[in-house]
Amino acid sequence: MTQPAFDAAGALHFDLARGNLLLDGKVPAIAVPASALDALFKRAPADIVEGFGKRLGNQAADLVRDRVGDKRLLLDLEALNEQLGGALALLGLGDLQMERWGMALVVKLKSMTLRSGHVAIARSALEATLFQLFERPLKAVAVSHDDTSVKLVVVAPEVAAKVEGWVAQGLSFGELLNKLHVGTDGVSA
Amino acid sequence: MSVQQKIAALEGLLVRIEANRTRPRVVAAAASSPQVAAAVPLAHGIIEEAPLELEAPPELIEAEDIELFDDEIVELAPESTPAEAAESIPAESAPPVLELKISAPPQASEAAAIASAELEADLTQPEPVTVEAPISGETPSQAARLTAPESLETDFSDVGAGLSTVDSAPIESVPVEADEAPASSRRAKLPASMSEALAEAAKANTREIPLKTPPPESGPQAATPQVQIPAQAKLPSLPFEDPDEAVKRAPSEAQVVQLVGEARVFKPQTFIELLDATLRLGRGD
Repeated sequence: MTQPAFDAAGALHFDLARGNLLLDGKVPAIAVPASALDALFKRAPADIVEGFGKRLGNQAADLVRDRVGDKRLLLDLEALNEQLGGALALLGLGDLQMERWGMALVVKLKSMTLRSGHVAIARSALEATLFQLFERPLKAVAVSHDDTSVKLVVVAPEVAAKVEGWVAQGLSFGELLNKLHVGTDGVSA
Repeated sequence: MSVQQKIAALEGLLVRIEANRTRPRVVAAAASSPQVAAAVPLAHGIIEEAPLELEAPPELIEAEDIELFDDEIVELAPESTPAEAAESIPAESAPPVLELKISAPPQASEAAAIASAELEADLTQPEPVTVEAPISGETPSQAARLTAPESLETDFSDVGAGLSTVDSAPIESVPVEADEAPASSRRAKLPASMSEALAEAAKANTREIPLKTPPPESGPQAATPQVQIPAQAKLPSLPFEDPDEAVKRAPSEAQVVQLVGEARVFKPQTFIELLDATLRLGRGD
C-alpha cells in the first residue's frame, strides 16, 4: 500500500503587499532566524521553552489533521511518519523518523536548526502532536541527543520517571528497551 | 764558396760534433759560474737534484751553439767512435745526465743562474722539491707534476710567472674539488646528510601496493602456519558480578520466551495500535 506523500502545496503564503506570512493560507506566521530563537531560549525558563514546543506540536497536528482528517486513526507507522514528518519539516523543526523496537515507539528528530532548548522543544512538540491526533496522554523521554538530533522513546506518563532514571543511570539503549519490555501487561516480572 | 769547400767545412763541423757529442753541453750563463746546481730529468721523469761542480774547459766556454738544419746534414762515416769520445771526458765531470735541452728561452739563462745560487744555499735542506723548470725549459707546473706525479693537489697560479722569475717557495696546495656528475648523468646522487638519506628512505618505503595481484598458483600449496596461542594468554577480565544477583536481575526463561514471542507476534496495523502498546510498556516492577 502506497502512502500519500505530504502535500506541501500552498503551505506558505507570502503576502508581500501587506508584509504578512500565512501558514496553510490561514495561520499568521513569522519567519524567524534560528539564531534569534537560540538567543531567546538561552535565557528563557524551561517552562517557556516547553510551551513554545507544545504550540509547535499543536500546529503540526493541525497541519496533519487538515490533510488526512479522520483517516489519521487508520494510518500506519509509515504513513503517519510521512504526514507528521512533513508538518514538522514545514515548521522547520527537523527530519522526523519514527521506528518500532519490539513494542516500543522510538522517535528520532534529526537535522534540527535550533541549538538552544532543542531537546525540550522536540520532546514537548512530539507529546503535543500525538495527544492532539490520538488523544492519548503520553510522555516522550529523551534517551540521547547531540547538537542537531534527539532520540526519544514514547512511554506512559507514569513510566516516564522510571525511564528517565534508567537514562540517568547510564543504561544503554538496548538495556533500556529490555527493561522497558519486562513487566508489561503480558510479561510479569 | 765552392761545393768542395762547403763539404770540407761540413766535414770539419761533423768531426767537432762527433767529438763533443757525449760531453755535456753547458750554457753560457752556467759556464760563467764555477759551481752549478742543475735539475736533471731522468729517464723516468723524476727530477733529481745533483749539485755539479763543473770546470768547464776553455773550449766549451768559448763554444758557440750551432743550429743545424736538415739540408746541411751530410751522412758521413764517423772517424771516432762514441766510446773514444767518452774516454776523452774526465770521469768526475760526467754527471748522471741523460738529456739536456738547449732550447731554453732567453730568460731561462738568467733564471737558471738565480736558481742555481739559491739551490746551492739550500743544499743542506732535506726537502728536494723545488722548481727547476727554467733550467730544463719546463714551467713550474710541469715540474710540479714531475716531482709529485701521485699528488691530487695542483697549483697553476705561477704558470705565467715561472719563466721570468724563479719562485723557490713550495707549491701551494689547492684541494681539487670532487668530480661532480653532469646534469644529464644517470649516476645516483648521494644524499648530503643523514636526515636527507632518512627522508629518501622513508619516501621509498611509501610505495603503493599494486591493486592487481597475480593469480594464485595452482597445485599444492604450503599450509598456513597454525596460530600458537601462548599458554599464559588470557582474555581481558570482565567486571565481576555475583551470579546470584545476576540471576535475580535477569528475567526468567519463561519471561524471555513470552517477551520474545509477543514481540514477534506483535504486528500493529495502525499507528494508534502501536501507540497503545508502547504506552503499556514499563508498567511492571
